[in-house]
Amino acid sequence: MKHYPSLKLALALLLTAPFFALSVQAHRQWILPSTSVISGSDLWIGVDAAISNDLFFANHVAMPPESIEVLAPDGTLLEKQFVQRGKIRTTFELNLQQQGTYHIRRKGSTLFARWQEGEENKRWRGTLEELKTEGIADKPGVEIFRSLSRIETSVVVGPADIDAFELEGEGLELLPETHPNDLFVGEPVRWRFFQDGAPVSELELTFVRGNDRFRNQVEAITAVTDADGWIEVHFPKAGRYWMEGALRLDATQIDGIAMKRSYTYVRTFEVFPE
Amino acid sequence: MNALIKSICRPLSLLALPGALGAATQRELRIEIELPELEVAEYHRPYVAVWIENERREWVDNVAVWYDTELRNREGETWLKDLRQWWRKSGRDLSLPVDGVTGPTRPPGRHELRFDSESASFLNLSPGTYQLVVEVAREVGGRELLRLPLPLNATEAVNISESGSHEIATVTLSLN
Repeated sequence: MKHYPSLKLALALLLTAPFFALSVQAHRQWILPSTSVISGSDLWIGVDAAISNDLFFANHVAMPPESIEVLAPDGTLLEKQFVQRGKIRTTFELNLQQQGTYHIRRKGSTLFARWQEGEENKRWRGTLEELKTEGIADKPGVEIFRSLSRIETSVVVGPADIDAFELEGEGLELLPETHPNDLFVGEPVRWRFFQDGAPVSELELTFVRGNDRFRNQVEAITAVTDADGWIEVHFPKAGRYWMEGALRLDATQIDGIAMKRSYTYVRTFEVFPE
Repeated sequence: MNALIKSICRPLSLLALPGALGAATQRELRIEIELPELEVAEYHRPYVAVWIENERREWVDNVAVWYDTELRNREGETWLKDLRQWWRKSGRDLSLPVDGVTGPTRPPGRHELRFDSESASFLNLSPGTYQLVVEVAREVGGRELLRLPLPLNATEAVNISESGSHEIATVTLSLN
């Protein structure tokens, strides 16, 4: 009888890895639509969501479906249908009846803490409310971390309008000049990144093309934002891509509690041959 | 089968100004597209888009779009996105069908389109560098795109031919 660690524990370990592990954690989170550029009306697409090493093959742990929201072009929440949560992969389907850009995203906001009680290393994970009620901020030598992550993708039916992208003003965000569902080999892609609503400079973005299992090198592409938060990238090959940017920020006061912060932004998208 | 296709007149087209040659010049454009016979297990007639671009590769006008117009619930439109470049440059913003532009798919062989400056506004474009773009996409098959120069300001008859490599046999344009 095999014993599987609970998903919650796996996720907790995964999410705390940047803070508690010396080695860089290699897992990649992704939400991937079956297709991202769509013509016609009243269509269905499938979506896979997982945390894995390979792109885009589920081989580690599923992403909790309840953590994923789908926004229709008119801004309303779209129901996820045929939702299946497996061990390694979450899937659902979407019925697209509107024209425009659909956003599929997972927003994560978690607090972590660590302290010592005698010889024992204590770890804690929870919400700001729980942190307060449990008095975590008063533990001896406590370090508190806030993790804000956005895992995003988008699909477009008909017109690709970049006005469909807006800032929320928290964490790392992307405002594209080139619509993420209109990307072709040989054409420049201009995207702008924001931290807590302000353009962020010197943010390094890493791009990895899918099907890495069938290559001997990762062939990652990197780009660093300029003073105004812009990057310009050219994709040399068509395919599905995964992009990640991450920031470690010094402690700031949140409700009077000092917290170090970790911001992550991930997006999947398709690049087509000319 | 030589279909005389009347191009749609788009009243909003700011580009359809009388050219240097003036409206008095009668011009005729013949486009011949040859779709290859393919030995494949599953053959579907290809989707084809023909349009005009300027020197910045911006879309100027549609010439012809052939797609599966006969399916129930306009299901044929579902695959128009496979004409990738045409879809992003024009198709996604159109309301279909477009009179005089869209029509059903066609079998392998030679297909001729004829236009004259009285009915086709794009033959009266202001002088400039234009290209005729032909994109072909076949269900469970390949995709190919060819660009041919379209010298609308040529003073003599022009004949230009380009060969494709898999989904297009040849495209020939003659401008008189």
